[in-house]
Order: sequence, then C-alpha cells, then structure tokens
Amino acid sequence: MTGFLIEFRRSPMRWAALPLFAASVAMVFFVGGSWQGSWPETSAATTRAAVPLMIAGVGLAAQQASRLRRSGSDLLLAARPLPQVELTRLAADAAWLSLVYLLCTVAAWATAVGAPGGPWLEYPVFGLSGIVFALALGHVLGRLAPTRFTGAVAAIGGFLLFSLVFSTNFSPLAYTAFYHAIDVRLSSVHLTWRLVVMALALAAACTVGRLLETGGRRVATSGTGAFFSAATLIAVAAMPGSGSLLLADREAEEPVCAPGGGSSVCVWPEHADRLPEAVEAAGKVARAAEGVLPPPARYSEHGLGDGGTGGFTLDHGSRDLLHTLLLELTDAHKTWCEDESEKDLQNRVNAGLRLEAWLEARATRSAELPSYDYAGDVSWQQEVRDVLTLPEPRQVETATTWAEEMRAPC
Amino acid sequence: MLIVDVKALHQGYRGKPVVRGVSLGLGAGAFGLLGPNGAGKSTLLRSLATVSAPTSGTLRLFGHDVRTRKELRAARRGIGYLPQSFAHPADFTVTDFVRHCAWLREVPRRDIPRSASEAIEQVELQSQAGTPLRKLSGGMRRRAGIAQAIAGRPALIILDEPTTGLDPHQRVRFRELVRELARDSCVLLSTHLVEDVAHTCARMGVLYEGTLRFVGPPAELQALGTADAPGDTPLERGYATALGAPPVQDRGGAQ
Repeated sequence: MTGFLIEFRRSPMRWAALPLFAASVAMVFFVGGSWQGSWPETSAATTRAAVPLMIAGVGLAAQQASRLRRSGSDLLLAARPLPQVELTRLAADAAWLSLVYLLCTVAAWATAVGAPGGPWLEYPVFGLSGIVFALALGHVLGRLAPTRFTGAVAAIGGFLLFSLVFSTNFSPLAYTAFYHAIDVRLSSVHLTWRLVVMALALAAACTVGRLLETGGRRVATSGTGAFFSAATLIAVAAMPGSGSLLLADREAEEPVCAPGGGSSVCVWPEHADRLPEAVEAAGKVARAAEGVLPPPARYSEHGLGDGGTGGFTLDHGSRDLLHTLLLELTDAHKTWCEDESEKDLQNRVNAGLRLEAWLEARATRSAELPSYDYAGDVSWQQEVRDVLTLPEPRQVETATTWAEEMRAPC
Repeated sequence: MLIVDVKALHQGYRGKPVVRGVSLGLGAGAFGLLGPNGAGKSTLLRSLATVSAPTSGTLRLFGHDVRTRKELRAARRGIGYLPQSFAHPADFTVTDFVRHCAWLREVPRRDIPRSASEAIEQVELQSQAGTPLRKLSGGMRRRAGIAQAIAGRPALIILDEPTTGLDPHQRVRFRELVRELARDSCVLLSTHLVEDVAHTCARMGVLYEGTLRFVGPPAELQALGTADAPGDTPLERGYATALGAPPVQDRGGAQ
C-alpha cells in the first residue's frame, strides 16, 4: 500500500485529472446524440467518457514509463521484483483515470435518477477495461521505446488506433458502446474477452520492462514479457468482433402494462415512465382502424413479444412509435401463403401497404402520406391519397377492402 | 554465518571479463574496497547487490544461494544498495524516495515511515525531507541515495562511491555513520579515497584488473608499503604496492 500511495500521490495523472474530467464530461453531455431520460441510454452514453481518457492514458503512461527508463533508476530498482513495481505504478495511474471516469459516470447517472429501473453496470465495466488496456499499452510503448517524444507519439498513435482502427461498434476494442435498443445488452462473452485482453495487456506491461535487455538476472522476466505481449496480440486478433457478439439479446423481463386502444400495451420496466406515450399512440391507432381492423389483445415493446414484427419501439420518437404500432396491428392480420403466384403476392403486399399508409395518415390526422422510401412500383400511393379525400364511410369501406385482400385465405 | 560468501566469482560487463575469480567472505562490519578506475569495483558490487548475475562462481548472501528466484528474493530483502550513479524520477521528494525504496526492499509496511525518517535524519537531510530530488544539490542527492540504502537497516549495505560530491563535514559525518551501521550490518563500500576506508573499515580489499590483490586490516596494508612506492601516507604507499601484488583469495572471516 505504501508504494501505491506514493505512486498515487506523484502520478502525473493528478495534474491531468481535472482537464480530463472536463473533456470527459463534455464528451458525455455534448458530443453525440441525446440520451437523457432512461437508464439504458444513460449507461451507454457514459462509455463516451472513456474516449479522452484512453487517448490521454496511452500518452501519459508511455511518457511516464519512458521517463523512468531514461532516468536510469532501473539500476536502483533492479534488485527488486520488477513486475510488482510496474503493477503498482500502473495501478496508481489506473486509479486516477478510473476515478475521473467514475465521476463522469456518476454525473451522467445523476440525470437519470427517478427514471424507472437502474444503471446498466456492464457499460462502466466496458469503459474501465478500455482505459486500463490503454494504460497498459502506453506503458509497454514507453518501456520499449524510451525517448523524449514517446508520450506524444503514443497519444497520437492511440488516437488513430482507437478512432480509426477500432472506431466502430463492431471492432473488438471499440472504445464506446452505443445504445442500440432496449432489448439488447452488452454481450457477456464480449465483456469477458475484453477483460481477458485487459489482464493480458497488464501482465505484458508489468513484465515487458526488460524485454530488450539480456542481462543475466532478467532472462526469465524477458521471456514472460514476450509471452504476455504475444498473448495480448493474439487475444486482440482472435477477439469476437462482430456486432452479434458485442451485443446479446436480453432476457425478457416482466413487462409493465396498461390498457390502451382496446389492447394491453406492454413496455420494458425501464420504459415504464413512457407507457402513457405508448398507450396514447395505441389509442390513436385503434381510432384510426375502427371499423376496419380489430385491435390485438396486446401490443408489446420490441423484444418483449415473440410474434408480429418484433414489437413497437419507443426509442426513435413518436412518429416511429405510431408506425411500429401500426405494423404490429396489421401484421397480426396478414396472411402469408407459401405457393402464391408473384402477382397475387404483390397484390397482397400492396393491399397491406395501402392500408398501413391510410391508417398512419388518419392516426396522425394528416392528409399527407408518410414519406417512407418504398421500393418498386409506388403508384398505389396515389390511390391512397385519393381515398383520403373521400367521405369517412367511403374511406372505411375502401380500407376494409384492402384489409380483406391483405388477409385473404390462401 | 557469513553475510557475503563469494567463491571464484567471474563477472563480465558488455561482453568483456571484468571481475576474474574473486573470493571473499564478509560478516558484520565495514569493508572498504579500493581500486583504480576500471578495476572492476562497481561490477563486483553490482554482482553482490544481485543486480547482475555472475558469469561463473558462487554467490551466497545470508546463506541464500541467489541462483533461484525464491532465494534471490529472500536475499534482496536484506540488501541496501547505492549504485555509483543513479537517477530517480526527479519529482520524488526525499521522503517519498526513501520510503519508496524501503517499500521496494519489502521493509514491513508499518516500519517504513519510521525507518525512512531515521535514515533521512542520519544523513542530515531532515530540512529537505519534503524537497523534490530535482531541487537538491549533487551532494544532497548523494545523501538521499545513502538514506535509501540504509533505511530499515538492511543486513548488507553496499555503497558504491558514497562520498562523491560530499563536502568535508559530510564526509566526516558519513564515516561516523558507517561505523555506527557496521555494528550490526555488513557495510561494503567502494572508493578511490584511501582515507575514507582507513578511518571506517576494519578490513579492506584492493581490487586491480578484476582480481583482489590484498585483503586485510588497514594496518596490514600500511605495512605492505615500500619506501619507493608512490603516495603521501604509509597507507597510500601500501595501496600502491598492493596494486602490483599477485592475486589473493580471501577465506572470509571476522572483521
């Protein structure tokens, strides 16, 4: 503990902590899309704080390791267990950066207090593992190439590495994890792999110090350093990098439900405060479809149900909510025939499209059709526009015809 | 039991043989190692401090054969080492530096603050305890280096050119300190300056071209001196005469 406290007190991170905190808070609150309001989105947004911390971590750790090597104090330390010394130094730097990261996380979480549910803890773990990896990487670079400019070069290299090579959410070392949808969480496989890579990188950083030296006492340590360095590279290369592994479907939980539009409208617990919004939208859909299609027994948010189009979504605005509810409604009445001719199938599809466009226009009380990009022949849209100008009974009559065509038996 | 037990130790530096078959046995007390530049003093001390492994020969410290990692680590806990030249990150304060080195030597945690304070006091750096190393003069930095080597009173204290940069008052004070430390520990110090060892060490050795040419008490070295040997004092003449003597093998013994 003595060594840790001394290193913690003298770590250069102590000077960098305040500006890094400001940069990290700015990244979380002002860069990227809006996220306030729900725990899942807030939790994912906190990973943005790791961006400046990882870049600075690579540079500062490299500079410190390089400076120590150039200072010649290795001779004084040479009689001591080097991995222990290295680990203590890294732990002190990691403690500073983790502190900054956790403060940013707490600041973001504070905005979500009162929202249903709770923080998704895998996101801070995701961010912290990235920060520790970056520190270890910087330390290795500083040890292997101890020059006056190692820190700056490592920071620039780290920026390029993390922002270009590992820039997407599908990269094995993505440094931010974006919020995707309420029904997916960070994959435990991916998270475990990240933690393994982090541990290997730390082990490499603690043992690589003498990699380039061949002095008798350090041969064993050199071999260990080479082993852990190679293992880290292999682990990064072999790391699951596809989106399907970064994210995993979430286990359905007991939903929060309320009646709306003659149906039961159900959402994920974290969206309980947005249930009235969904209920109101379900009411609009039901009123628009009155006399044409009966409401389903239940509307489920995306990921909660096991049928229909997969559920409605609340994450992309009220128009999208309405649209996905409509699709849920019509999908429950669609018939799909295996051996249908292409022409009959097209007619059936077009009938559904007409009905959905008409329902959406009515639900939004607009004479305009939704401006979605439809592939193929879109002449049916004019027909819908014409129908929207007819008196109410005629509109319902026509829409009922489309509904019949859509759900006609095979 | 001998604290340092070296037999037929050979040690190279950058591929060249520097220490050639040194045998030496040391118990508690002060032992001064004299020799001209390039004689191999620092290389020998690095070996004894376990910084570098001997090319051949055996080295036992406190009875530990330092060839195995476990024994090596156990031995290192008992070694305080001041290299001939060293630099520590300059932002360390004197106190943190000494505490850090004590921690590196695995001095028990609860003893570190007291040990560090004592060591700093012994080298008379109390007034600079909170000063970063970069703000110290060369002599003060040397004293901080001595403080880190003696903190926690290790059983073996190896000081390579400890008096370099010290003013006359500090050199006198240093000799007193070595005499005090030598009551319980083995203090092994190297120097070019005959008078440094003459006043502090019960035994001394003369190393020349990688081999020991003399091992014994200062009086014996003094008696060795011939009238035509260069030097201003009998001891210096003895030292100069020893440089031309054939290699000797120390059997080890009380100091």
